[in-house]
Amino acid sequence: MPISSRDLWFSLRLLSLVMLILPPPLRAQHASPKALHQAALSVFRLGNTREIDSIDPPFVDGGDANLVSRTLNEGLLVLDPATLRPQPGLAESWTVSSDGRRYAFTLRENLRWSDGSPLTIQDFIDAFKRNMHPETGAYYAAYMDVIEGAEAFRASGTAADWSKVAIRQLSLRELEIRLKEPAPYFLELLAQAIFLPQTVRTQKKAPGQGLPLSSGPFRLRSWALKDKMILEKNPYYHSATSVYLDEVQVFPIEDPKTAWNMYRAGELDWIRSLPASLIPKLRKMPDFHSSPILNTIYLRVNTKDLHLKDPRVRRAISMAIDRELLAEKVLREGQKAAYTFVAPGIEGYSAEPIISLDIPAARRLLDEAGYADRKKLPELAMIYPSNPMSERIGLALSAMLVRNLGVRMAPRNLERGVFYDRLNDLRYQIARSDWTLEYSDPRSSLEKFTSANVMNNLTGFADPTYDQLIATSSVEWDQEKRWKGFRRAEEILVGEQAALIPLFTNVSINLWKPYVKGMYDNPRLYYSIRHVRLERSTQASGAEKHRRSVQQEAKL
Amino acid sequence: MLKRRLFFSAPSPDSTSWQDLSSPSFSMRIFHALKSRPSNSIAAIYLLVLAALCFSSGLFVPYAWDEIHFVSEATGPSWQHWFGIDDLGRDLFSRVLYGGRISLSVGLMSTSVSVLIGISYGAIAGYFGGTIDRWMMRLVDVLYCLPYYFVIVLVMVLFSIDSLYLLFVVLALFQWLGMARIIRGQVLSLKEQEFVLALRGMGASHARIVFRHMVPNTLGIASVYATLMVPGVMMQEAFLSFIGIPFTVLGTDGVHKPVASWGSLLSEGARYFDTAPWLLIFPAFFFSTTLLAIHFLGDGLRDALDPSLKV
Amino acid sequence: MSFLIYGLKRLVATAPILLLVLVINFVLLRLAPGSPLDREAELPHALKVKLEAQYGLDQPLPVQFWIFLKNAAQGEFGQSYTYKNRSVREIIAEAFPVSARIGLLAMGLAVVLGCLVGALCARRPGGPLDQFLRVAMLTGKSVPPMVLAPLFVAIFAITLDLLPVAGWHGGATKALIGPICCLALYDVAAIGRLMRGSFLEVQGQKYITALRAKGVGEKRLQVRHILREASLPLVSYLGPALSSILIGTVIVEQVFNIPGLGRYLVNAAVNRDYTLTMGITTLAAVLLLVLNVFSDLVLAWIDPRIRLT
Repeated sequence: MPISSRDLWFSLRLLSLVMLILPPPLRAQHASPKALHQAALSVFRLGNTREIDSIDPPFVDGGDANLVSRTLNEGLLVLDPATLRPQPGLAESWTVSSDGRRYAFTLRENLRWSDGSPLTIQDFIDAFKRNMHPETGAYYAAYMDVIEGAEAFRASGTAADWSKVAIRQLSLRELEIRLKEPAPYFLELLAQAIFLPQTVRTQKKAPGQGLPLSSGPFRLRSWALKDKMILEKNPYYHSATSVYLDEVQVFPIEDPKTAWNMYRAGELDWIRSLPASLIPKLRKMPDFHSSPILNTIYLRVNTKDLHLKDPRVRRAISMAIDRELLAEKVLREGQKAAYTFVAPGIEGYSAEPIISLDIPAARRLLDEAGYADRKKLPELAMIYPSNPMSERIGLALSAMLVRNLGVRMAPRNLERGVFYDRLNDLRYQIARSDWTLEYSDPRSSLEKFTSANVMNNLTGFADPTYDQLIATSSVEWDQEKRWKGFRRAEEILVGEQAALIPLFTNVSINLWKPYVKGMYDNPRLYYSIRHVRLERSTQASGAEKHRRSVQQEAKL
Repeated sequence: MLKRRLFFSAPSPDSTSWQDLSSPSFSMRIFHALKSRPSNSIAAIYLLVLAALCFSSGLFVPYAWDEIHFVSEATGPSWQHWFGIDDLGRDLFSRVLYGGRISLSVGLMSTSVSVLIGISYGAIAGYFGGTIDRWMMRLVDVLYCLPYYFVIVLVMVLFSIDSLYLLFVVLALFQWLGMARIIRGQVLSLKEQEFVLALRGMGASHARIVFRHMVPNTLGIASVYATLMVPGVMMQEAFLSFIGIPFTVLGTDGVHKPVASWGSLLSEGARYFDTAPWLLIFPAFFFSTTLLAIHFLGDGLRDALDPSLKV
Repeated sequence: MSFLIYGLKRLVATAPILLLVLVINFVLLRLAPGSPLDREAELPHALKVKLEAQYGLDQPLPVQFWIFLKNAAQGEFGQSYTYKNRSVREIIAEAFPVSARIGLLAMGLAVVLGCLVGALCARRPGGPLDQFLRVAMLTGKSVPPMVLAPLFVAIFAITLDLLPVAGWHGGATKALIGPICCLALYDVAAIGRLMRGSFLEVQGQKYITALRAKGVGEKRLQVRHILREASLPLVSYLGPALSSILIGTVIVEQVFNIPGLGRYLVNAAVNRDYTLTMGITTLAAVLLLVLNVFSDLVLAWIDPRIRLT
């Protein structure tokens, strides 16, 4: 018996019943007048690699949050994305004293927040105070320690006395900051999120009602968690006339494949993460931009561990790793093998390898250390927080160590909370770590491993010579002496003691469409959307053409 | 009281004689069930062959499942590597077979444990009836209502459990509930048979009655339900591996490493689908066909033993 | 009247279960190593203590739980630890409708198609269509979402370019198709099988034949009698199935980049975000229990015999 009309009718009724329970917006969205209107607007759509937790400056964490935060707000200074040189931001000029300890900034005239209210020096001072205050719990408050009185203020709790901190308003538009020691990188530091101005007032008018005010080229119009953020041009920005974009849409996309698929389909203009397997092919596209960044992936070694406390064991492990093989055959994204801890790229600072691949020497060292019978060395655990790439690295290193050295090292995937727990309590043997320089000075990397820096060291490494070198070099204004001191310290840390095993330095990965102009890649991952403009005849046809060409190319 | 139909049927119309209910005829019935339809036997043979291959894979594969070679890229099937290799140069054929071993073990062992628990629990509850039954079933109801998926994910994630054996236990802990209910229902009806009275009259202990006489008669429906449970367990394990919960085992080079279960192979394959589709296709094929075979088998068994089963 | 009493009894019975669930989840979260305040660039110890006080983490466990209960009763779960300045309520309010819509639609589709398929099979049991569909359903049950979803994207979105690759797009239909299909397939198969067996059983019953002999029209027979009884197992199946769909969307949400509850939960667990995790699991527990009760009530409504026992 064929399906009777009755059955069909019945099913139809059921189906319509089901449809009824759906909320109204279920109809397909055709090209509405709104879409056409949007074609006239210049909208820049970018993919972030994850949803950000916060754009509140003290809690800005990670490249994604930094990007959005600096697009919404501007500090005293900005960096030129092409050259990374400090440029005037909200401050139109500044002076530095000859001993490098006193800075004076002059704000532009007539600065306003995105609701039109005046932006004053007090907004900066309030921001700094809040960020430094121990009760705020700003993540990177330590950056401010270079300011005189800051460290004491941060440590003093509720009795904190702001007057001891050397930040003063000199006149209506002048701000003075004194440092406790000369810091050649201070201007670079000022471009970070922790030095952005803040206000407690929020937007009053829809659609962004209740959202924070902005001091930068864009202001926040809406933020749908895990879906997208919409930023619109800030008419009160001091150089609003030179901002080309009308709107910026930020999509948090965790899966690199999804990001690539959306980019390929023309739904995104800029993405910063790609599926690793595709990168060798995507390199050939003109959309692809990559540069080495000041970021080192390395292994922390617990120098207090029973079997790892002998530096010879640690050096042996470090020397048995074939970093070139790792970078070329495992990572394949253009990473470079790292033989130093401080990533190469700091002008004048030596990038000569401190450790290198030497399997016979490694074996000898291990024998000397008393492990000629390899079975005496139990299986070591290399812990890492969940991450597919880290798993690959762990497996590759494991294979190398077994083959080259006869040492068994097992990669152990730990859930993030557990990982940090173990790391903080020194309950681990080897831990995957990574570090990005916060500013172009080796101090950023090396001062983490002084014996006093319990929070960041996390390896049990303590060497008085090292501490001494760091202390003297940090305040050294003469660059050559400064560099020499740091370099010697690094040699102790990575070479003689091998408390750290550097693996590779990362590269940035970007794809942006050919019609995106004014976008630059740089080693500090300091992206600036302020100068971006979209050059195409009409939004629709350009996207169409480009999508076809990308598809052609992608059918490699 | 709404009377439920008896969940088993013997070939003869007179099914009240207790001799018909003992074990030997049970295994015969299974065998006949398998032979009755070609699809059943094909499914059974497929599973047996697959299991044999998977569990003996260590003996004949040219590459170990975790053997890493530093290659420039993942390549597809070739004479050297029948299923191709992944980006770390690991042979997929070997990994799929090894994954089969893991997934099948998890499926079988978890199911066995939960069957054991479920049958015992259900039989005891059904047999004693009354208050004992009520409270035991209440516990089952409560446990049934727990959003156990959350609990599993939470437990495995929060405590960084990476032992595969613990997974067996955890999965089994939630699977036995359904079985308990079904067995209880069975035993409840069996209880009213005359032979039970006879046995009590002869002085048989409760334990003996329950385990030597009632339970064997529930094995029919138990085996059907068990075969239907296995795919569920396998999919749960696949889900856990897919979302990234790692499990480690001792590798062939003496170092512990993440296990290559079908679930993790699927998740890897999904990630590399664009450039290395074989990494998804082969594990998916084997996973799906294995599930299919088990489903066929379960259906076949059920149809042969009692088609009216709503299981 | 007995219906109401039955309903009330069931509701009352669920309250302690809900409590138990909350206690278990709460305890698990607290027991697990690590805390939501973990960071690599560590917080100074004094500050950590202060923050813990602020979030109430320094109180003894039972006190914390009691505070949690009080707030939860009012729907207040506090601020999320990972998404600062966002209350858990906000996050859930945004994410739940997304998952719910996908889940309900997928289930709705599965029910409709499943019943259709089941009915088709039951018309001529053993016939060619029946056999074909049975195999098809078994195949459907054997292809899990983790296989189906990437394949779906690869075929429909990338190669054929029929659908958007990913994203929620504010709930536009085109964005819904992929996730719904991937989710629904398994349940279409399951429901199909269920309904086939159910239709067969009911059709074969004597009272149906009697009704036919009495001259009751086929249409009336189908809807009023057969469907009503045959849907019993379906209703029992739907309760837990719906809530597990809400959770089971984790994979689909990941592949299609959808801001739903499943993904939030896994992320929250990874980040040890107490408040968010508790919020989501509470919601899930409540849903699960309410749906169970609801399905029991529907069962009782359809089959009056049940409430009398």
